[in-house]
Amino acid sequence: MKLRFFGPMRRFGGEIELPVAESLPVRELRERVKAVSDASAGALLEQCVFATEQRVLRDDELVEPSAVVAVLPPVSGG
Amino acid sequence: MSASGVRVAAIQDIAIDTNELLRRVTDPACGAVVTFCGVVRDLNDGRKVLAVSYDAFAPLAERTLQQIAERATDSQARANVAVVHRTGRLAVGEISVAIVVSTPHRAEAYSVSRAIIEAIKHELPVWKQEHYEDGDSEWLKGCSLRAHA
Repeated sequence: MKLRFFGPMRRFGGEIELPVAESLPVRELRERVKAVSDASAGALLEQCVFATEQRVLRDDELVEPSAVVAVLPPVSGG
Repeated sequence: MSASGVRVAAIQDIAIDTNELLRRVTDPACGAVVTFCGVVRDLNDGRKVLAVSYDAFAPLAERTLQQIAERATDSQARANVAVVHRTGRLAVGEISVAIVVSTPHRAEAYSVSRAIIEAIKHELPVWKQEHYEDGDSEWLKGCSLRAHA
């Protein structure tokens, strides 16, 4: 699964490949990303949502291993 | 194109041309046009700001802008909207967001414009990094989208 980072999450790289064999709910995906990130990312990841180009995903939604998912930290536009 | 509606909802990395947006909402039935611009300010939390970089998840941000504008005009019999948010590095004084609304009368135009900027602040997948006089840079804390998920 490919994860793309934005805003303050960019410091962990613009994009990472997460080895995932089966579909995962978003809440499990968040834990997987935490496990491969440094400790400072943990608190920020708690506030992040995961999204496709079409919409923000709910925590209980399943994400396929082939998906490209954006990790979106708290927003600050305007 | 319908008689009224969302005429522009875009994310762009070049300077915002408000005259062009004004032209896009022109409607002979609308006697009120309100333009709101968010502009890079030189001070935040007591720190001197030289510039701001905006990052965006552009495909979702454009969809979200469209939805925000549709929602804000849903209850209006007639309203036209052009809304654009910038990305990239902006100097103090540059326009980061512009919202131009035309409606038959002024009260609706102000109200639609206000609803759109408030929703942008809370929902648009865009991030702001301030660059300070002392050489430091910081991403602002922002609003979590988990409340909307």
